[in-house]
Amino acid sequence: MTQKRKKSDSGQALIITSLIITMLLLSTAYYVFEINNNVTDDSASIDYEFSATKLSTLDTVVSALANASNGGGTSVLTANLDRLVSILQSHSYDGEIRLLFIPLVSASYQNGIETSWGSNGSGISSAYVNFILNESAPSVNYCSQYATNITTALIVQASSTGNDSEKTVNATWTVYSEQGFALAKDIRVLYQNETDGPWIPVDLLSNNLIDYGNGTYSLCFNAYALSTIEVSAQVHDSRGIFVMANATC
Amino acid sequence: MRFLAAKRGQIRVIEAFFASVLLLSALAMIPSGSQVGRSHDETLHSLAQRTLVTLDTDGSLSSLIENGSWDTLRECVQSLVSPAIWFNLTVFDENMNPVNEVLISSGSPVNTDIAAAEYVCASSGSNYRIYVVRLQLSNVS
Repeated sequence: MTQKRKKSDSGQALIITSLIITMLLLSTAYYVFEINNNVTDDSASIDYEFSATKLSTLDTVVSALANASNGGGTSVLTANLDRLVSILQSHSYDGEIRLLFIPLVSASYQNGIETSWGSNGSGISSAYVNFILNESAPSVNYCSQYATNITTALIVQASSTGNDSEKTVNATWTVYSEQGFALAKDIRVLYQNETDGPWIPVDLLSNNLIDYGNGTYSLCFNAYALSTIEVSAQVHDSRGIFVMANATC
Repeated sequence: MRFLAAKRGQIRVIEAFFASVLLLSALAMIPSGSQVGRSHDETLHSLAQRTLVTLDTDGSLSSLIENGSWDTLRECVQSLVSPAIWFNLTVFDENMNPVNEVLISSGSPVNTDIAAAEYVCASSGSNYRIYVVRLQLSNVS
């Protein structure tokens, strides 16, 4: 009788043990599933933070170059990025953000900005900054390094025909951005008919400015000059970045 | 006979094991109410995030804010979210003072479950400004 009872008791114990093991297995599987879900959510949030931060930094660099090329100093880039970083860090999205920036310093770039407006027919306004973005969400850490380059360039070509004093000048210029051809928001063309003489503005409307629609513009005008003529094209692109270039003919 | 009695115990154990597996897996399959709510909020939250990034993809969000083009901004948001979703967009300056003097919204919310996302918008003009744009979304139905 006692043995019979023992037998049935061991069966019950086995059932309970199997139940506990099953529950443990299932709860582990459920826990893994939940963790996976959280990682996916955090990844989506990190993606958003990365896109949003990249857009903000890009706009900041464009703004600083527009400011610096229109007469502001090169220190504006660092000052504006400092402001952005402080707002981004105090206003982190779903995780914590740490953004470091390193403006390019080289022979032509000063504090990340280059304004090279030469008399050889080409002019460049450019900004270049390296960024290191560290983001941490509860279950994901992310580190990304990217560079932002904003450039507006201008190429001017000029040729002149005619006798000694009355000349017809043909000027053609093309505006470029870091992505290819760019359109100009406003254009000024001036010429100088003697060394160190005054710059004379050219009326674009009466001289039939031709806009080819692909960033290239051309103009034909008459000028009085005894020797060579220096033509200057000054352009603001659609982002408000200023660039100028001079060519001699 | 003895062998059969011993086998009966093992079968019981296996039976119980399968029954519990069946029961618990059925329970695990049923999504809990809070989970449904959470995934729903997350969808609206990520929709709000996507909408904000799309609005500023070409850098036009800051110009709309600076020009006070609130109606255009409302139309832009309206074109990006479904008509079945209520939205409210608020623009703050760096010190979190509201900038938009008119309501950029699709009406009054009919649902108390509101998901929100924020976006730090930097202006690309030479006069540098920073705005914090908050988009709140909720299901109408």
